[in-house]
Amino acid sequence: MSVRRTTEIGDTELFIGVQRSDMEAFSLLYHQYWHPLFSFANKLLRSYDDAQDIVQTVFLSIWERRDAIVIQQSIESYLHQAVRFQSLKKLESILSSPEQIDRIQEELLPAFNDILHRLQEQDLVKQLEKEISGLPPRTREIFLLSRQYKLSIAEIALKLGISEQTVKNQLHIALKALRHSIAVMLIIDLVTIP
Amino acid sequence: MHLQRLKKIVGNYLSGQSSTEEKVIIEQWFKDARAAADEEVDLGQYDERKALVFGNIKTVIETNSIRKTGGSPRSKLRYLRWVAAACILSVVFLAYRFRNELSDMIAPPMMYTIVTDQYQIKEVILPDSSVVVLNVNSRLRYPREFNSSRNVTLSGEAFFDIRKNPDTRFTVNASHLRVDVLGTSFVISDAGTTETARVGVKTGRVQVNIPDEEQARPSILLPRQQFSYTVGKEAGKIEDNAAINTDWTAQLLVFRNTPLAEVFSAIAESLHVKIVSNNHEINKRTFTGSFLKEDDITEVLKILSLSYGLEIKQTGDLIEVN
Repeated sequence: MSVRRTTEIGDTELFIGVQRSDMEAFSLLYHQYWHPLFSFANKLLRSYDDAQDIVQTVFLSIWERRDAIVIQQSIESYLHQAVRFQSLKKLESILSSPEQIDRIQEELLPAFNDILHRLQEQDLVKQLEKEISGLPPRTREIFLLSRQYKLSIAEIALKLGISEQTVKNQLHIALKALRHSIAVMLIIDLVTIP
Repeated sequence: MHLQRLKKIVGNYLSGQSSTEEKVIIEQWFKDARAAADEEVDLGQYDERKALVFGNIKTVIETNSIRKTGGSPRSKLRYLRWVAAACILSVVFLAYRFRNELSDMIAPPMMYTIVTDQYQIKEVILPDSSVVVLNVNSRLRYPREFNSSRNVTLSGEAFFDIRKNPDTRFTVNASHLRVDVLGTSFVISDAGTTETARVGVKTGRVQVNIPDEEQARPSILLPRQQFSYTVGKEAGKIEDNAAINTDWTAQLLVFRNTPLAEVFSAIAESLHVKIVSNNHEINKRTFTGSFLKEDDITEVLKILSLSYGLEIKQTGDLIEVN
């Protein structure tokens, strides 16, 4: 914890040094942030070489524009923002170069498809939760006991002191109300699986 | 997701035009990478790259600072001076390089036009001492002086014996064909009304173009080859071992069933003599035959008087026919 605090104090001082064209301060800043930035760019683009280029561009532009830069939050977030922007620009150029097609097909597109898939799933889970919460309390309870706690119909009937047929009827009502969301979820699964 | 979709998402994000969904996708991409990066511990596994990149950055910074200290206003002025000098030099160079074209533009060269009628064959010596023999009903246009290029215009038929000059090509712009040579002899037959334009080669190499046919590639002809192009039809044809007829080039006047009166006036014009006749018979007779260049007037008259039983009397330039 104390290490982190010294770096935070150090950051501001380092950057003031960079703005005074202090090469040593610049070097310290570089060595401090090399690894997180390089690693970040590499996770984004899945290429060590591209990550290397990006970190180089970011640090060079910091040096070149040191007089004009105003740090609003922290140097760390400024640097990450810069890597984000450069990576996005790089991604744009990769997507437009036919010689990178293998990499696009095998790494970049699957990564984005995965993101899309997860986002859609999240949306549906939210939607489903919303619809479940809109069910009548008794129906919702039976449904959750069945799906979330994986209780059998007999167990639910025993636990709630109702007949098995009532449990069946309630589950039927719940599934009927939710079938739209569930169907959409199934369709998306089919569509997004390559 | 397809490539085009991803391209659009990235492009929209960079230009600030993302939809909410597109924005979320890109931000999720950042989030995932950031989380994965934060998990990675620095074990010095990328130290080699770290040192390399820092070396690169340092080199660029040092080079730029040298450039910056050298970039004072004074040297900027000097730099501009060099630019100006380069501009002037290139203008001078271009003016020199295209001096002939420029002088042609400012003062067009004087052009000669030689025309032959239906009986005449004329020999023309061009400014570079190339020889052109113009067949009947033809027209040749050429400048008084050739400069960087040797260009003439032809309508009709002509035999060209071009003086060799490897530096300056000779171009004949005929009615349908363009012929480029360095030094050869060849015959072109191509008038405005021609249905089939022809080029036949006697010696050397000749390049023929059909300017109207943009797709047609230039044809290279060798001796005894004849190129023919039926106007309006696609490509030209090359015929090997063609008989290139140049016999007519030795002739001076050619007549086919021509009334004698016209023969006499053609002779008068070509040989610069005056011919008078009171004999009306000559208008009823026709003559078929040709006279050669080396035939002199006495020879010509003798042939005619023997053929038609005419009495021809020559006094200097005046000729009386009875």
